[in-house]
Amino acid sequence: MLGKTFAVLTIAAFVCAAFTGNLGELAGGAIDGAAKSVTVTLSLCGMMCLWSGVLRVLREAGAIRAVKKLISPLLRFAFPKAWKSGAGTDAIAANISANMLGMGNAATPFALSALGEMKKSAHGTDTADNEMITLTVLAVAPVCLMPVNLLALRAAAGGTGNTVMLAPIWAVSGASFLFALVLCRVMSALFPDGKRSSRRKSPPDGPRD
Amino acid sequence: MEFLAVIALPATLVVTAAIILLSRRDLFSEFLAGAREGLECAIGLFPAMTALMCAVGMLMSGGFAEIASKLLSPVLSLLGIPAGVIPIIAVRPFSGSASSATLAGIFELFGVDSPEGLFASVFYASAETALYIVAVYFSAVGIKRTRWALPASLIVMAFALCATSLACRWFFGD
Repeated sequence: MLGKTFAVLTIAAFVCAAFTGNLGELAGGAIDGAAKSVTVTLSLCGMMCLWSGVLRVLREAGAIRAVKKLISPLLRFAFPKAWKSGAGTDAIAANISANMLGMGNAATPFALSALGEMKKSAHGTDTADNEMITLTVLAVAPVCLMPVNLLALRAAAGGTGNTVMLAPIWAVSGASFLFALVLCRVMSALFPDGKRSSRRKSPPDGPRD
Repeated sequence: MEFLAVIALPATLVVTAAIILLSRRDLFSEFLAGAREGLECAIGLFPAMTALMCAVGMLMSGGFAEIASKLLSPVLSLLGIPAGVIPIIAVRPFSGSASSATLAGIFELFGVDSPEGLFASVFYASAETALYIVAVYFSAVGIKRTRWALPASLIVMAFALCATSLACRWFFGD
C-alpha cells in the first residue's frame, strides 16, 4: 500500500508542478520532507517509548478494566471479534479514551499495540482485517473533546472567544465518529474478511474461537 | 471540560507512577520493556515515514493545494462552502503541517473570527491526516493490503466536511 501511495503521490506532485510551473520547487519539497521526517520520527520515538511503557504497566495492573467497562457497548459494536477473543481490547479502549481526552500522542502507540495483537490473532497475514481497518478509520475521525492544537493556532493568530469553538467541534467530531462507526460496520458486512486475500498463511475464515 | 483535558495526561502518568510504586512486582521493568518495544516500532517506521514525507513534501511544494482547490471549487461552492477554505480542505487529508500552515494563512487573510476562519477551525479540529494515519498504522504492523481503509477514511472526511458546513450555519449563523 505504501509503495503505491508513494508512487501516486510522487507522480501527482510532478503533474501538479508541471501545471503550476513549480518544477523547480520539487527538489526542495523532497529534501524538506526528508528532514522533517527525522524530527517527526525523533518525537515519535520519545512518545512511543513513554506511552508504550505506560500502556504495559496499566495493563499488567489491570487498570484499564474500568475504562473498558465504561465504553464496552462501543467496543462490542465496533469490534465484535476482538471483544469476543479479548485480543487487544485493552489497547483499543486506551486508544479511544486517549483520542477523546486530546492525548493524541498517546493514542498512536495504543493503536499500534492494538493492531499488533489483532494481527497476531488473525494469524499474522499481511492483509488488514475489518476490525483493524475499523480502528484506523475511527482514528481518522476521533471525538474531539479538547482541540488543543487548534486553540494554540487561534491564540497565535490573536483569536478571542475560543470557548465558542467547543460546541461546533463536539457536534462535528461526534457526528463524524458515529458516521465512521456505522460506515465501518457496513463496509465490514459488504467486504467480509478472508475472501479477497490470496496470501493467507492459514485456512480461509471460519468460526473463530 | 478544559480542566479535564489539561489534567488527563498528567493524571495518567501519576496513576502509572503510583501503580509502579505500590505494586509488589517490578513493574518498572515492565515499563522499560514496553518502552523498548515502542522505540523499536518507531525506528522501524522511519524509512516508511521518510518516503511518505518526501512524497507529500513534493506534492505540497509542487502546488497541489492550488490545483486541488481549482478542481474542488465547483462542487464545494454548490455546497455553500466559502471559497477561502478550499485550500485547507484539499490539504487536510495529506499533511498535518501543511494544514496548520494553511489554517494560519486563512487566519491572516480573512481573520480568525471570519466565516472562513471559523469554518476552517472547525474542520481542522474535526478531521485528521487520513493518509498518515492509514500509512503509519498499517506499515508499523507490517500490513501491506489495506483494502477499504483509505476510501473509508476519505468518505468520513467528506462527511466531516458536510457536518462542518451545517454546524457553522447552525452555530455561527451564516
